[in-house]
Amino acid sequence: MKRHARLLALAASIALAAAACGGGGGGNKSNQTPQAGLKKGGVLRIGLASDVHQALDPGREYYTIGWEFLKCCLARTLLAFNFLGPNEKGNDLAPDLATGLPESSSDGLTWTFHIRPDVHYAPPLQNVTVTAQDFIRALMRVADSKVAASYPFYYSAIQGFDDFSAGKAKTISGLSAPDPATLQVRLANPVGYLPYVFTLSASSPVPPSPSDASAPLGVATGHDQNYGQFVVSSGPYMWKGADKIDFSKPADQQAGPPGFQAGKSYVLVRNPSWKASTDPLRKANIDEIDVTVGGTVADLTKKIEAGELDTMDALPAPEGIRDYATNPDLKPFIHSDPTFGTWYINMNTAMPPFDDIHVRKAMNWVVDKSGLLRLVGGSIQGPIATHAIPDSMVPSLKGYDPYSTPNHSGDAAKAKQEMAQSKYDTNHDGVCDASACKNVLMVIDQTDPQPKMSALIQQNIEQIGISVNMKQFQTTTMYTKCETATERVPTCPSEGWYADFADPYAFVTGLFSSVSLTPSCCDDSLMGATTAQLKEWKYSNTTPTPSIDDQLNACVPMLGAQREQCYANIDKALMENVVPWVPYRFANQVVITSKRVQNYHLDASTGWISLSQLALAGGA
Amino acid sequence: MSRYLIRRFLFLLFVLWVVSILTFLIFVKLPPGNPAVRAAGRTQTPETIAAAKAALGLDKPVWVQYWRFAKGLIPWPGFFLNRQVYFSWSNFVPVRQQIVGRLPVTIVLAVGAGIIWLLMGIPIGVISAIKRRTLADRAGMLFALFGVSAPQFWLAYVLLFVFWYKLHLAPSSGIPIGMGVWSAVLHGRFILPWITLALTYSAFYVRILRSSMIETLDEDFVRTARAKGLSERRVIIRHALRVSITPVITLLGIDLGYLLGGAIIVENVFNLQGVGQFSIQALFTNDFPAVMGVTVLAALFIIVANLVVDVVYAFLDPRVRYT
Repeated sequence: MKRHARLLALAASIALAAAACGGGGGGNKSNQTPQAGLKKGGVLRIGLASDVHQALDPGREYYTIGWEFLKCCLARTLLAFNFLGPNEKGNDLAPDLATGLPESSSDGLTWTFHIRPDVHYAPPLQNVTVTAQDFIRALMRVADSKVAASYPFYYSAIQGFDDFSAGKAKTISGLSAPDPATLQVRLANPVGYLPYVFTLSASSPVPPSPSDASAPLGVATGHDQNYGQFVVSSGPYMWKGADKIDFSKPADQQAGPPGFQAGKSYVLVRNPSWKASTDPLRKANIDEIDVTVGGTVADLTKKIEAGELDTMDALPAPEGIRDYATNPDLKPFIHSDPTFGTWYINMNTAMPPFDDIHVRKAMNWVVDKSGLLRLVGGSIQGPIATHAIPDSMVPSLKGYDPYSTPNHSGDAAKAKQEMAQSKYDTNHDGVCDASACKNVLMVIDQTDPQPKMSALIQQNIEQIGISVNMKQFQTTTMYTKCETATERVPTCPSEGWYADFADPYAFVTGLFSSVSLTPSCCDDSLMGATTAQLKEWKYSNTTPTPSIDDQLNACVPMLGAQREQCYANIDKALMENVVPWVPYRFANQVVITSKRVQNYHLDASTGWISLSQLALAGGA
Repeated sequence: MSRYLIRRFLFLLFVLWVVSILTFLIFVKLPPGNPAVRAAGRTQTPETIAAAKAALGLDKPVWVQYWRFAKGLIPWPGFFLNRQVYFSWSNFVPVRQQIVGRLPVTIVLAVGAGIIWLLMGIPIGVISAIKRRTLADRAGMLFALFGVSAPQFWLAYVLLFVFWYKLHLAPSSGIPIGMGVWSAVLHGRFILPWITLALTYSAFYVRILRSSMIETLDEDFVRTARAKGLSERRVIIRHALRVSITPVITLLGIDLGYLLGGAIIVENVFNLQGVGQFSIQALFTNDFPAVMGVTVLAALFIIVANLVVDVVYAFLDPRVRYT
């Protein structure tokens, strides 16, 4: 659920000071019209300032850019999207390895997928075709606790999934393959988001082991945490040299492909088994994708300008953004598109003074959101958020702004009116006078411009009597502290959250459901915490925190417009009845590319460049 | 001599043991948070955390945990950086494989830069010493001041900007995919990194050699050599420099040992995929097994370099005797 926000935070913040410089606006709304005469061929060169997260293991990888490599190139799934932006129907489900969208039984409990025929794996398994059993194998791997997959909870609704995961069953009873071309999924309870979880790379097919057909995890057997380099591709590309992997050897004796150098470089070349006729979604214009890891953002930016690289994972440094925003020659090569992400100030509903809803509402009134946007880089970084779920996911929420202030600059008078109702404002003058409001611990990201943004928030909330004790941490540490209930952090203003797929379930459940009150992630505001939990975590106030579990559960089986309305109502309940956040920005993805890059699109399903659609000027 | 070497070797083991204790405490016992939680992945249950704890040996007594970690430091097959403990949490490959793969880049960088800074530092230091208070001496000291003062990352960026981006006289940073280390050397990929390191390091050598040389030139044996009618060139090079250079050798040993553990700034700015870059990546991702591996390796390099330097002393300075 919180895919990649950490690295995005880092990447964004590196560039963000650009903010003031680049000014608001700007940013090419992508050259989204497909260009005629695109040529095939060429080598796309990508520089990554930060490496992928989980060595590109389809079951474990949890980073925007890692997902793009998997979804574009290596790991096709039963369903997918068109690999275009949210404004180009990039949220609409489409069949990929399935022949069509799944058929659902009338009770919503049985879903049937028909597998596309004649799809062959990459060498060395070029004679093996994709079958239904390969998807069952993939999901068994996701359920296997040794693998420590990143999002098994999405598949929990499948009958028997949790039992298999707990070691109580040898198979997942809800998965069956009546014939090689048919996969049947039986659910324990109906869930409207089910088709979406078959777009995630963890569900991509795992072929059988050529040396042991009975190996339950097929070629992934023995590669609990490093399957990424041994992935047998079903997509248009494969790791360079992957055709030489000897799967007949035991896993620990198999040599990884030379095209996969963990932490250093990754090289993708064409998969000779892939046929455009069996893959209507991917253009696969490029012959090879070379990825180098390392280097500074400033250096990578210069390399893109010099034509040595075609793109990178981070935003350029401030002067780079300024160049791109002001130089007419460069402006077409900076792209800004909406994603499924929101940046927000988190408030821990179990920690004073944020255990009082009036304080939380006062925070929403007083924060200068346009100031925060200016500091972060202006509107190129995305529009001001006036509620929690991004408009790109629930369009009907557009314009909903329960804490509307002039120019989104905050309204101290309204904030004081709200604060006056709080138990922490004993004389009801609109300024908190309780000791709980003094020296409130605020954990922030140390990466620029987050400290500047936090300083602005500090100034804003002093008007309602809240003073903070600001502690800066490296991005990952900051998230760890804010996500760990036992750290008892009252507020974190540097957090961002991105949904895993276009369904709002993926946005709200991990954040606001009590099932997400795990030891380390991700219900940072502690919604739905019980007295027993709060005691265990040593909170002074052990009154149960507000919960929207019932509303969340009610939305799960719904479909279509009813589903969207249900999540719109959840957003409103969050903003008006619970108020765990001050949302301040809906995240855009900003990317720069070299002049060679043509047909740029954002891939809404990953939030990064759609590699499957790109072409290079002149082709080879 | 042999007794001396044995004693130094035992001291080496002692220092490594101390380093291992400190590393164990810093990276295993002291960090906030539970390594098992980190290892259990994103989706955790008490059961998966317990399983990770068992897999990492964290459910064992401290001394067992220490031994599990420390045996990875014993240079013996199956022990040294063994994959059971020294397995990257970020890249999911053995740390030893990562270090071995990256070491050639670091060695070429360190040794190449070392040669350049000696070629720069020794002549300038000698000239500054024998031509005290002349223009040449002032220029040498100015050079030293610049080298000492210029931050490495700044110098690296300036060199890249001027010689690659503006003048196109040097290649850009990094080693292209598929290009080997030697090929990279031949293509000039190390020139700017070498110069960056050499400029900053040679400055120290100039200052140290100058002061050491000035002191030596006042010694009786130098006066005697001159009185015997030896040429000034022979006096300077064969007698004075040979003695004066011992602190330089000490420094060289420590510097090379340090750099072999990774030239963190230069490797990062020039995107050279060496041990230094690996260590910084590991730090940023809380990849403790990798950090431990690199730390211990760096300590080993420094200690061995010191030992080698001590031995070399005897050959350089006839006054040194080992007992």
